[in-house]
Amino acid sequence: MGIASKLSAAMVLAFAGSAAANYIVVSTTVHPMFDAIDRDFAHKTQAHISEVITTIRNHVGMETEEIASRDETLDLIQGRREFGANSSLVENLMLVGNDSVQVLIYRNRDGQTLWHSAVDMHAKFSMPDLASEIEKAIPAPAGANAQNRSNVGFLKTSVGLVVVAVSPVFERHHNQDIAGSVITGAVVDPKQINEGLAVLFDFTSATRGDSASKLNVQADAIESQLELLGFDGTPIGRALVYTPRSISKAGSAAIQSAMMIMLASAATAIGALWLFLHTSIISRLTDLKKHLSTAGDSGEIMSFPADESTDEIGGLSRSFNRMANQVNHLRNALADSCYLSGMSQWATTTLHNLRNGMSPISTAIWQLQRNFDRQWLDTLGQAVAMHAADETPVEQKQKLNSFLIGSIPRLIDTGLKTRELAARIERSHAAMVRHVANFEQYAHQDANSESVDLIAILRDSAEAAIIHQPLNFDLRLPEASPSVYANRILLRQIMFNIFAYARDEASKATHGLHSIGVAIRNGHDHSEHLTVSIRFRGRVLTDVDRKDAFEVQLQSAPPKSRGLGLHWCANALHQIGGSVQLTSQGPDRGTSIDITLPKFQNVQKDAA
Amino acid sequence: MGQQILPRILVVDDDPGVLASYRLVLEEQGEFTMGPDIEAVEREIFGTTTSRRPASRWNVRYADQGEIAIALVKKGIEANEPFTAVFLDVRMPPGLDGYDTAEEMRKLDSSIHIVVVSGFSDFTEADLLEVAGPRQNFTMLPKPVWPADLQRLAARLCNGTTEPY
Repeated sequence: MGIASKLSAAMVLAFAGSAAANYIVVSTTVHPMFDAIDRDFAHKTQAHISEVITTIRNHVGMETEEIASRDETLDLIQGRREFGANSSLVENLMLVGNDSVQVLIYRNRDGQTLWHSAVDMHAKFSMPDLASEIEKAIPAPAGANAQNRSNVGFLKTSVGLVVVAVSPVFERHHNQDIAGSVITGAVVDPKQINEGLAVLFDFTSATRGDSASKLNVQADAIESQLELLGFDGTPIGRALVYTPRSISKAGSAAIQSAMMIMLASAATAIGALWLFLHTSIISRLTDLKKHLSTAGDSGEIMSFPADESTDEIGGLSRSFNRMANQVNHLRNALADSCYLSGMSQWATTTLHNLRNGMSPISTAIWQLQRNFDRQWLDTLGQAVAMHAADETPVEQKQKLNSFLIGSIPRLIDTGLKTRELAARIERSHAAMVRHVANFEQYAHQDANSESVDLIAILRDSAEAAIIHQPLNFDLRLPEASPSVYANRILLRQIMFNIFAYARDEASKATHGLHSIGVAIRNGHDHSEHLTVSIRFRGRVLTDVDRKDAFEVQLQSAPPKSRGLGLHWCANALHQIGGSVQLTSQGPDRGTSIDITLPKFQNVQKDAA
Repeated sequence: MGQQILPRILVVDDDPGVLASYRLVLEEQGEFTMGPDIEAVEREIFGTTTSRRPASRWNVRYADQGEIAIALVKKGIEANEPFTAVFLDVRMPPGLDGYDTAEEMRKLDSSIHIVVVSGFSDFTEADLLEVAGPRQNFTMLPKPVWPADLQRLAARLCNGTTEPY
């Protein structure tokens, strides 16, 4: 995973972590706080509602007692006055005190309804059914069982929840004697409570199974319940109070906004950091990495474009450039070394050939010396001198004549032999001059690559490797070939070593003429390389032989040296942009050394 | 009277020109370029003759490859006609070089005198002495060997003299 990917992942994780942390903080601290606030507010609202309901009960109860205590009420119940328009009935209806429905019922001592009325004070229409409904719901104790105290309670009716109050009407002068009762009722209007207290108030059936004190926390509101006691003191239902969670909603919205702002800020900061890291570090590292990854595949390592920054990456690229310069320098030194090694190998061979060439010369010179034997020449000289001397006797002179004449054939023979020896010396001299000239032809070349006539190199190196061999060799070279791009000296030495190897292996063939054939064909990429195949039949090469052929010649026990082997050839070929491999087609089917070389064309080393 | 068994010399070199030189130097025959009458006159006048030279006092065999030379040495030992000395080149492609050949010869014959004659050796004298020694049975000469020196060395090794004749 690259640094860029790791950076992006880290940024994403940082952002996600930040968001998660925010969410956890909000979930574990802020929301519970808001919940607590909302619960507290709901409790307070519930208490307030309870107060309101109690107030309504108390108000209805008190007013009912007020109505029951009036003389007019007693008169109405005892028949001394008639229920009619002049009575204060309407006023009494309004005493209950709300704008909704008021109910007023008069009963006598026996519990019989004398008069009743239920009026929607707001809409101004009567609701006789409601009055009847309440009458039926309120038992009418009679006689001694008549209640002598007021009572207030809630009653479920067809129009809703009604607060009902019953108050006894006492005799005028006998406070403890009940003359009748007054019943009032006021409909509890949830709408008024909702508007007045800004809560949602509703009424539900008596049993819900859960505790009335438990808050039901919902998304938008908290539901609290008030138990409502009926007229007989038993629960008739519950008032549901929905306290809107406006605080938590507002707070949550604020928190969310803050979180979004924070996350946006974090995203912006992280994005800016990512962008900065990407442009100032990642992209530069990527460029450097790309440069490094291709540097090793190129011939000459190109320097990284100048990075003048003083940071670590700038320092790294400058260090790389220094290293590249050193590597290129070493590469050139290695090329020179390979060149010199090739020259050295060739020089030793040339010297060896020169020394061998001198043997016939020294032998011829020695023969010349022996032919013109000193003693014989001195004897001839003495004979001539003695013959010319006057004091030499005639008989002696005749013997000297015979000797001198008899020596002529030897002189002639010696002269002829001398000519032969001179010719031999001349031939040896010519061969030595040829050896030196051959060496000099290449000795002045430099270590750079150039256009090289491949056929000429093949012919020269093959002849040098195979010449003077007593074994019969059939060497077949192609007629023509494209030029290759190589160092002439290195290539000649490479081919010499390979031909020498082929010669050694071919000479081990058990039958037939020892042959070495050379073929040239285009490489797999037709435009840039060609392949020289040197084929021969020799011993069967195993996979290990083929592999070991290019390894350092470990079988050579020190200090023995077999000169530069195929290992050097492989390295030297790589140096000039080529390669070599050894293949065998199978037992008795020959072996091929395939050398790949770059063609001479517009070669441009694609460096980093 | 039994025929005298001459010492045997083995020459090993892959260069035909060098082998030819060895042949000329080591197998020099007696030469008679003047008739016996002239020789007699020369003796009468000068007390000696310069026309006769004695033949070499050894037999020479030649090989151009190390393996062939080793086989000859082995054969000579088996025939109870061992070689007295071998003149051995170092570079003899495509077969064994002089180093390996000397090593094998020494294993076969501890008394043969090995003379390494080197045109340009990849081995130092110490390297070769290690496989071709001991010192008293080893000599190293640079090429080209002066023919007179070659004859004197052969005479010393074969006849214990300093002159070949």
